[in-house]
Amino acid sequence: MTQPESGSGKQAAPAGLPAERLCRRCDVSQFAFATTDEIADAGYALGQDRAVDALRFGIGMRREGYNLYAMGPEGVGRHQIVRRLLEERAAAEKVSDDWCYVFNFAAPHRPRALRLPPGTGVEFRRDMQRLVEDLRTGIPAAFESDEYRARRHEIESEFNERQTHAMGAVEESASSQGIALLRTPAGFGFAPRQDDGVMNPQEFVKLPEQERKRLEAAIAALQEELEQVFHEMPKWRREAHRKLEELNRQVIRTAVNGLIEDVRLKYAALPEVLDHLSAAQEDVLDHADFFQQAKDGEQPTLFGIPLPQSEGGDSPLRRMEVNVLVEHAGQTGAPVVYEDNPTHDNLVGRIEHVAQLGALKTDFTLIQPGALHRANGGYLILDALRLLTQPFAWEALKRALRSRQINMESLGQALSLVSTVSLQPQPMPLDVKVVLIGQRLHYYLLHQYDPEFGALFKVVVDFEDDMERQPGSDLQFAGTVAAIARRESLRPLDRAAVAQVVERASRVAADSGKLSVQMMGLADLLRESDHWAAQSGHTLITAPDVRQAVAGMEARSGRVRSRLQEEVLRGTLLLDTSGRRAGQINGLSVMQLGGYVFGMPHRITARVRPGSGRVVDIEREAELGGPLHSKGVLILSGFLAGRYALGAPLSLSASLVFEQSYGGVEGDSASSAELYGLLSALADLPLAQSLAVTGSVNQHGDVQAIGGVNEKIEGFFDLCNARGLSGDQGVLIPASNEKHLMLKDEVVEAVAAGRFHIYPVASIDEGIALLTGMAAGAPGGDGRFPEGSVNNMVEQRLLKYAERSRGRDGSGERKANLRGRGRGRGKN
Amino acid sequence: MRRIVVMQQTWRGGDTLLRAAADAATRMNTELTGLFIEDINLLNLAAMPFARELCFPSATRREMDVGRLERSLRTLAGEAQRALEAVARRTALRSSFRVARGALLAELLAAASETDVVVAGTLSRTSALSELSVVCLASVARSAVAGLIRELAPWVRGVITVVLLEADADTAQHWETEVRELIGRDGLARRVRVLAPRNQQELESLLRQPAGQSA
Repeated sequence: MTQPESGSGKQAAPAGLPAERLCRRCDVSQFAFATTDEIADAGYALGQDRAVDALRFGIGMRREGYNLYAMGPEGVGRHQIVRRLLEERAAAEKVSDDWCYVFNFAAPHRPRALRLPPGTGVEFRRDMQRLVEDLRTGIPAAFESDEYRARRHEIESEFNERQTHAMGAVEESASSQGIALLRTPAGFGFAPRQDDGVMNPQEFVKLPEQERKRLEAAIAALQEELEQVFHEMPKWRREAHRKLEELNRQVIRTAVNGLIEDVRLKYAALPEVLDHLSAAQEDVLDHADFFQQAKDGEQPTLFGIPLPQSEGGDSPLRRMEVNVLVEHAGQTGAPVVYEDNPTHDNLVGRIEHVAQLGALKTDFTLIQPGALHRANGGYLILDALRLLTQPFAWEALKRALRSRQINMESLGQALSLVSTVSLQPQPMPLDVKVVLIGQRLHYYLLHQYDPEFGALFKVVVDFEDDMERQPGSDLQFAGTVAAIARRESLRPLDRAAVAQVVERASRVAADSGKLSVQMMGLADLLRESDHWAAQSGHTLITAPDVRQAVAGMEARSGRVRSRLQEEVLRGTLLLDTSGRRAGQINGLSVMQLGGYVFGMPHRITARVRPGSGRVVDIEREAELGGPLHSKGVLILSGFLAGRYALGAPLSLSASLVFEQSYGGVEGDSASSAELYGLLSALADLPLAQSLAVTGSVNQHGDVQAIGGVNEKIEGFFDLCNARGLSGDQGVLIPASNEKHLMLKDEVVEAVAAGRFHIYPVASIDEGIALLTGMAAGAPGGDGRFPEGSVNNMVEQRLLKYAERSRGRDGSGERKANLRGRGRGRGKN
Repeated sequence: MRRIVVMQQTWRGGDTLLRAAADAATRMNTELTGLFIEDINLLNLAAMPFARELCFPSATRREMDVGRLERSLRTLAGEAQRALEAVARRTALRSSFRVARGALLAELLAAASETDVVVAGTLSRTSALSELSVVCLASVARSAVAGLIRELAPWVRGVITVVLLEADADTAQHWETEVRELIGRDGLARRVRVLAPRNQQELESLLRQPAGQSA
């Protein structure tokens, strides 16, 4: 690009970028294949070497706290890559143990956790079920034996005889003294006999006093004696009851021991199981009568209504059950679990209840496992955002990881909202590696605000958005395309189509030196290309099909873009693409609506006048400008103050605005355009309206890179194209953005034909020269800008503002004094 | 058999006995009469100046007086009558109820002479009758008694005693042999015995519920 000569007023149009530098083509000739059917699948983690290395490290690091956080944008295949790597690793690891909960005979509200070899849990449960069935028949059979009947009868007879004998003794004693023992409604009484009955009161009164006293004394003594008997009876009853209990235990012991012994032999290598069996054995012996009732006992009733036969947690039979919480029968390798709804209960499990007669009941059989249980001994994958948005789920996970055990507690209990008696299952030891998958923002927020996060999730797995586009990478990418096409059962792509996809990947990456590794977007593109191929009756996916897919995506999302352009074409939105005007320039912005991004030109205007050195950003004043935009505008003030009229204060008042913009502006990519507008207004030099500008600027006047350069160029191009390209239209972009150019064919063709231009600009001076057609002007040895240069014209204006400003403030008073002295001298 | 009288002393396991008697009466198509005896001996005892009741099983002592005893007896009689009426309603049984005041033996004799049998029983642990007594005069047909025993047998776990009034031991022996033969089923026959109490005391001891319940 040539600079205009110093002092010259006009400048020939500088050359822009050649067409071949506007879009890095994928060379089809590098592909030795005809279709993707001929190439092998590429690895599933294209461009994710950093992430894969981090994953492998994290998985291999078997220390506390080395859980992983896999972060990156949606669609790069985080889930797929994490899962595949975990499954590869898990396949070579040992199968996790089974876990069961059983009744705790020592503390019924604290179910015991039993650890069993993999696949044994279900078998143990089956064995216990069979044992219960055997006990159901074996124990009643023992109670039906002649031995039991005879021995029970002995105990009952002994007790009855004891009572009868005791009562009989009292009755005999009474009888020997002429006293009868009578049964009363509430007990017993003694009365003097007469013949076959009791003496009536009239006859008693007639007895001699001595006889009466004798009878009364005898009756009193007999009452004492009978009372003593009554006191002893409960003891006899208790003794008999104990004898009966012991009899029951003895009788069924043989049956129980024999049945349980078989199970004990089977699980002889598991001491916890043996403990449990011993406790169960004692419990059965202690509750032998239950087994007796189970066969021929009465059904319990309530107000005459038979109660359901469901056995509650207290039933000896139910206590023998086994709740297999987690079992791994038939599995190979450690578990890899993905919990897609990580609520508190889904993570740590829950204790269910059943309603019975209006009350909620529970027991150890109603304990349900959570994801941590299922992943114990292996790996657990969770979505970070879903986890964090579930109440108390994050806290529960941290607690489990910190304590290395799974403590089952309902939220009500954890928050002390519920104080009813409930189960407290024995905590289960936890050995799991957790992989959280989430966004970068959440990772950084967690690190900043949760002090425990860094201690528990030491390994960050940072997924790339894109990969280097270098020799060989196009072919690697082709392998990935082939893999997706096969996996999705799509038509194979011909190599031109593959090249098209590669170029599209660069466009998505917004960098000609990169390829996007957004696998989700790539898969969508291939699926839609396949659709268009089908529509066209192609057996292969061709380059036109891919272009059609891209065009289709844009067309479906382009309603707003089309409407905006329409309003510009109709003149509702004022925007010039020809002519020249001072203090007005075409800026460029990008708009993102959903997943669709497009560029849109905007008119930016600048007005200047003398003032206090403040550049007013009208967007900011109207609270439509974001902080980054405001920063860009403030930088302009620094530029002006640092370059022009250094010996004088900046006495400028300027205002900048995005005309007809009502939706808010953010970012500083238009700051160079704003500066051009200011300079144009100050120098009163018109700017070419056939050009649009994008690029941020620093205080030294360097034009800096911006984002969305392709969309911005295409946005202005589309408008110019709609009006008819004049041949002098184009876009000024930061030179440092050249490597990001991946423009669409239409633009490239127009540039190649000389009907549109892309100018890479490194400094404000370069840009202002292009826009005004005049040299910017470099300062000489005296620091002054050449006469007739843009910078000189700007500086002259600023100096005038400064003079005016001085005259209004300080010189105004001096002139008044001068006037006064003049008048005084005159009179004298 | 014209009528069965069931002795409704409620502290003698009356509910089960009543149902057993009602069941038998229904099957045998006879009338059922509930008999509640206000034992005169109890009333005499209550009238004594030194009268005390030793409650069971609490072993607390309390004074007795006639008024309270009579109220208790009336209450018990009322409960017995209501129980009988309830059973009769359910089974569409012909029934009646009466209260007698007097000596147990005399009243039983009177009842037995007016009817065929008087049935009395004692409770066991599981609310089945552990024992049952059928009180009758020796003049009652043995076949009728055997038939009644067969009807009552399912309700009784233990011994069924036929108490012969105004009979001696030999008569009782003959009765036992014949009744067992009439019953015919060996298992049941072994549970039947026939006794002839010599006096009021023996009668009472046969009919008295054992103090407390069996283990």
